[in-house]
Amino acid sequence: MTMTHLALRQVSKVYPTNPPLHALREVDLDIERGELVAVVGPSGSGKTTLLSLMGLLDTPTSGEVWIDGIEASGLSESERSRARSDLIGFVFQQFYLLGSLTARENVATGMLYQGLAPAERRARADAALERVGLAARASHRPGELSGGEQQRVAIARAIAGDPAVVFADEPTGALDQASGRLVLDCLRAANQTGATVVVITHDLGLAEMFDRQIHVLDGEVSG
Amino acid sequence: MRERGLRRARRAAQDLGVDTITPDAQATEALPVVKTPKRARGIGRKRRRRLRPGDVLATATLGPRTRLVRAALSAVGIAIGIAALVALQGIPASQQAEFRAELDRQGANLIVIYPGHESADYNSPTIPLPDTAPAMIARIGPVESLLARRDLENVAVYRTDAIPLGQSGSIGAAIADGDPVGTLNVEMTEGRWFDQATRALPTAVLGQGAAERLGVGVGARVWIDNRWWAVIGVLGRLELAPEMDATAFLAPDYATQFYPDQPIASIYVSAAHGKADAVRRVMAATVNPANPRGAEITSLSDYYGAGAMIDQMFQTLSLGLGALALLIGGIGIANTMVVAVMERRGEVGLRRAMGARTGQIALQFVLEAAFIGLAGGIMGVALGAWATYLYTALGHMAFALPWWVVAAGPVISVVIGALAGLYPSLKAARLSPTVALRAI
Ligand SMILES: Nc1ncnc2c1ncn2[C@@H]1O[C@H](COP(=O)(O)OP(=O)(O)OP(=O)(O)O)[C@@H](O)[C@H]1O
Ligand SMILES: [Mg+2]
Repeated sequence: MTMTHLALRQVSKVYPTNPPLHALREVDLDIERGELVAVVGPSGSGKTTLLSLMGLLDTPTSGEVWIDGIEASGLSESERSRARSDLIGFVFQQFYLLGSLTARENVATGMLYQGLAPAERRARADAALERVGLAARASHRPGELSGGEQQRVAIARAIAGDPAVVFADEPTGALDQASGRLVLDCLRAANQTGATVVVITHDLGLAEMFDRQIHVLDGEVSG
Repeated sequence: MRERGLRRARRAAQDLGVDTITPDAQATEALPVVKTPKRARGIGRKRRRRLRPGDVLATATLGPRTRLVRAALSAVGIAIGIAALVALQGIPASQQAEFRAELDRQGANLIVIYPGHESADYNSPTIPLPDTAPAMIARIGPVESLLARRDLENVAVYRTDAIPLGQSGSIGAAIADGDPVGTLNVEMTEGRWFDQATRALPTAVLGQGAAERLGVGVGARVWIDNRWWAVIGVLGRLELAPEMDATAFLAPDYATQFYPDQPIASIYVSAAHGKADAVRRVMAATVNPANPRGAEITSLSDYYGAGAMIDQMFQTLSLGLGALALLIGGIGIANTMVVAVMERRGEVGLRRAMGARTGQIALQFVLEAAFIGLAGGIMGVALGAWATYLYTALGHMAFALPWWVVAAGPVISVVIGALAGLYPSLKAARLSPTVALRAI
């Protein structure tokens, strides 16, 4: 049985610049639970915007955003924060690891706002690092890790809280091919354990490896 | 694993209080956009998730711990401000303590009681001090010691019985009962004051002036009113009661047999430190309850007033200077926090993406600023106390630091830090997650 997990209904996003910028135009999109989706498209086409809306980081100018059975426009700012902490994991091109914290602490910080107890956070962090193959590096600081390893720590942080959806915005953008493959493998593993995974990528070769490719062009979505 | 994920997601959705409906592509297209009713949002205030205090603290101190030097440098401003405040409070306090000690040495705690007059006219008849007055005064709590003096009129003091009458050399005789050493802040240069035994024997204690003029000391005899009196002590210079310096004091119990009805000429009272005013206030009623005019009371404690005035000026000035330094310190923290928030937009974006509420971001940075302030405050109190100590040690003064200054230092600096961090923190909190994440 498949279920629609993420859905956009006539979603538009207009940035209030001068002149106003139509980043997304009346987008309709359905992503099933457990799908592994690549989002591709030229620079400036609206990929990051799409992801921000689906990830409840931003609100659409019009239309409905559904995630995990919730329609987001009905949520307040703090309710959306809570939904992000409970339902969603993010991975960004820049890893956004806190340099003074160890890998384990960075991963544990990902669950800070979920309200888990410190011991539980640490245990889950170790488990997540194990899943991305970095158990041995748990007490290393980001400065002591390669770019690929840092990104895998970031993935561990995104999946440690057991999110329903993982969004990754060009997670391999700053990495070489080999590291990129490893990162992709980690995301794929997260998908296999139940999460819906949506990954933006410029790398068409990488996109080939996904179940489904969504093409974004000039604010219009297809595929 | 998959099942667990689903369950968790469902539960989270139910927590959010929203009906979990999966939009049907066909159906929703036809439907108007229906917002979730307010009631269904269901996330009451009580369901707001709070961070544990330990987590809040760890998060708030992360920035300063990461950039220790910067945090320390921005705390220095506050530290200097608090140090200035502490030192500028502590040094006058020490000076005042010194001033008080000096006043005490000079007799600021001395009260002298003379017989009053029947009217405001000084030529009007005097009202004798009651004989019970010394005992009554001794009962006032803060009275530490006293000395009551009865002058013997027309009683001459001689070195030998050979000197003709009328050549006394203006040495007076008096019966003094009490403790001149404690009351008048004087030492015995020789011998001792009357004790239980000697006060009933034909003995005398000489004032410094009397001893010098007579050219006698302990062991000698003096000839007073046709009797020999053995000198058992010589007082030091009576700076606080020079009128008694050239006086021979006769053993009170022994002398009273011969001069039974001498009126009290004056009573010297030494009050506990700082209690002179309080003692003075109850003195008239104590000495002569029947007639408050019956005693004339003088003291040096008026100096305290002058001391307090100087103090006030010092405090106002130092408060102003300290406040200025704190303002500058606060601006330093605000500046650090503005820079920190700008630099850490990525972190702010990330935390928002991880589910931090705007309030939690604001709190993190406000507490961070307060934390820097606190560190500055503690440094400042230590620095100020040290400066005060140095100043007093160099000046051989008593070290005094009001406790409220020590307590207020960190409190003030925390408040200043938090206030300084307020604007940058609100700026960080208002940053939209997408904008924050776009930065770098
Ligand atoms: N906050 C904003 N204010 C104004 N314009 C914006 C804002 N964010 C994005 N845009 C514009 O919206 C369009 C879509 O941006 P978006 O970041 O979604 O593109 P993208 O597909 O992710 O591009 P890239 O591949 O370069 O990351 C761009 O033209 C961008 O300049
Ligand atoms: Mg982008």
